[in-house]
Amino acid sequence: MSEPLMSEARPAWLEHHLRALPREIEPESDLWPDVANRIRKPRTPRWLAASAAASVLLSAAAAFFAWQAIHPSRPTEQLDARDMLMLSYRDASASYAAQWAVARPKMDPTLAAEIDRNLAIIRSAVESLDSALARSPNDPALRGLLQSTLADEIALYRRASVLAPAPI
Amino acid sequence: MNLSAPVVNGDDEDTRLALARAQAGDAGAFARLYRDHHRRIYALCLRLAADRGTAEELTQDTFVKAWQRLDGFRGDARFSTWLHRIAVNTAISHRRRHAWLKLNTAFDDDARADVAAPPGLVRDLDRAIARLPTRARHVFVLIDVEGYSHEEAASALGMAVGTSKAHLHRARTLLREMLS
Repeated sequence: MSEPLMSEARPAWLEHHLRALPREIEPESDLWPDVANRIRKPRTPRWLAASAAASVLLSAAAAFFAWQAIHPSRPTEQLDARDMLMLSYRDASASYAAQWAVARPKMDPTLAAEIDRNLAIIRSAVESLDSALARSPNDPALRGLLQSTLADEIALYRRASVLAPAPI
Repeated sequence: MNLSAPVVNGDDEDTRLALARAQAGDAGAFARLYRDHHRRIYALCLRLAADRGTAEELTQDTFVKAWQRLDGFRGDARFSTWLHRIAVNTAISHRRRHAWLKLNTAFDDDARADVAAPPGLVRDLDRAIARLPTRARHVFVLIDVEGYSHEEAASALGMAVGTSKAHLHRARTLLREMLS
């Protein structure tokens, strides 16, 4: 007889297997030396990591709003969609990058390295999309992809600010 | 430095002492906590990741994060429970990053069911778990192996409770096929 669909209770055949499942498994290699090496550096006080991340986020937000305030006065009708997008990106990205360079040394190295890796991926994607848009400047799908990729960069800084208080 | 032991529910005297010393910056005391708990954390990471190298990396990351967050451990739960939570979050975060990197390569979650078990998994149920689709595996490990409720698993995995139930059902069905 088959088990009832979506049953909450563990079926008997599974209980049997679960009882035999070891709760502990020894890794094949000694993992402690790497852990010991990584924890050698004194712990970063939480307030410092949090304030560093918060300053990045606040400055990034300020740069974004400043850009919004300035750019409507430009003769945007002379720019195509790609130019407009990339103008906004270059301004904001440069601002983020400068602030990140200051905040990075104050943050947990593992977290900072992870953020760097993700930033590199985003920038690579932006460059690829920009090249594609150069060939098809008014392609709405490409423009949408580029917009969402740029939003990823902002989201990454926001995520960093959330993660930093308890370094991941 | 504060050397007083935190109020720790359920942890024994030696663990409380090691915790207090580790919180004061004693890496040797933390090494003792590592020795006591790393096999349990590795088992959890291995089942969630289904890959020995990734599990080793996740285990190391878990203990590094635990060290970094020790100041915030106040003993509201057992140390093992707290550590377990860090491990699960680490594994899920790793998976999300992995999925993000694979966005454009059409990562086929369902294809895992046909992938051979990775080396190092020699026990029957462990071998079968490793062959489950990722999300079904995560739900199964958290609920059936680790004892989470559907609500807890769904929250940890960022999915609806109904989705968690569907994945658990799928995992059990696949496991039964693989183990029979």
